[in-house]
Amino acid sequence: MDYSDEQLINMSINGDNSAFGILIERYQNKAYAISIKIVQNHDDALDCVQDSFIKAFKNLKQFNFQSSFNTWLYRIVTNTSLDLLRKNKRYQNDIPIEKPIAENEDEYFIQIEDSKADVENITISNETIRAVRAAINELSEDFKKVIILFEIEQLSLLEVADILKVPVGTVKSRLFRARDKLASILKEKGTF
Amino acid sequence: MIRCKKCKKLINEYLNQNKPDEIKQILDIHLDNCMSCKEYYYSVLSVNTMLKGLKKEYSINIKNAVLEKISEEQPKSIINKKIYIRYAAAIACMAIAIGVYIFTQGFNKVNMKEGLAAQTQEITGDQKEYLTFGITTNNDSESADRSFSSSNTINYDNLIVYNYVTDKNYDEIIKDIDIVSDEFLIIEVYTQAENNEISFISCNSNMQKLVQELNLKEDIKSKNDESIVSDSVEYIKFVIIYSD
Repeated sequence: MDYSDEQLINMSINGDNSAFGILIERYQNKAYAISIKIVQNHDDALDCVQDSFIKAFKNLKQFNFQSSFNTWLYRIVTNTSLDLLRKNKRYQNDIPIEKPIAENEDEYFIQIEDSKADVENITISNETIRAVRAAINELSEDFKKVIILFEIEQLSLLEVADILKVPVGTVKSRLFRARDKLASILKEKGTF
Repeated sequence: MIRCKKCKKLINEYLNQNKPDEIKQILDIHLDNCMSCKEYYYSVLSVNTMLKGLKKEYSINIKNAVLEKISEEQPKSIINKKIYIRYAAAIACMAIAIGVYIFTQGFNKVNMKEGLAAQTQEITGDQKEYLTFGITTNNDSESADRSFSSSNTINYDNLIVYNYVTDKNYDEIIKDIDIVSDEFLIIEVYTQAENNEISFISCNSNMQKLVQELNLKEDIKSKNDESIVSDSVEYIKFVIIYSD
């Protein structure tokens, strides 16, 4: 039987940890995808996602069902990942974290499937990926969040607004400026 | 035709709405005639495409690790509470047991010791004046003028009375009673000086031996009440007439 998120949350609150296990299975991959874009490190991303689920579990009673569970969880993941990023940057003298691109990038992940995103028209080289990641790192946190959540993870505007707790108009405005900024950075670096 | 500012907004809306054809048709009219907007369009479109190219499908499994951490934290507090409750219960039981011991057995032992000491003191002391002894039997109906009492409450329901005489005087017989008092558990002694009479209670059933030890002779003038003798006799009252 497929339980709804709400049912699983209530079961978890009543002590059924296996119900929370189903929620983990349901959202862990997306949560990881968001985190890895922010922290750009597999181990850190795994830690962030685990911590986020534990935080979510501890605060399940405070979850008021006004938003959906996944956006609430992704908000926790985003904030936890950004916290870690800030912490890491402090320790590393503000050097942007950029995961080196290996010849076979798959080694950084447990499993990476081919993207089903709309990339059929352009083949992106490792060099371009590195340049785009570096450009994202140069963005402010607000711009970074909308780029990762909307452009990369392809969440809807409503979901992003829900996660960031801002109006949809603000998301659009940030996207407009973030794209502009990214385009400028990439042009400067001769990416296109 | 739309203006450049409006065109840029529309380009972003086009990207926001997953590139719908109707917006593209409006844009194309402007872009065909505006190199600046065309350049902007291709730059943000490239960025958009590159960003979408970063999307990857991941497959991780952190369920067990997370649930393990959760359960590590959860039962700890419950177990601690259970252990605390068990320890508290054990300590409470021990406290009750100690309390019961102190207020029953412990005190009883103390009282027994105190009682025996008092008895010894009573009959070993050179006392000739005693307080009223509060037992009543057929042979003891007349009030004793000089006697001593015990603070212990004893059930004398099965008391049997024997009458004896002795050639010894008061000091001699009281000294002998003192000597045998421990062995024969003599617990009460009283006197009636005007009748040269000493009485005591013994809860030892070996009456014949006690008679021998004290060298008593049966008082033929008095008739012992044999009718109340039974197997359940616990106390014997000795009434001894001593010589002057």
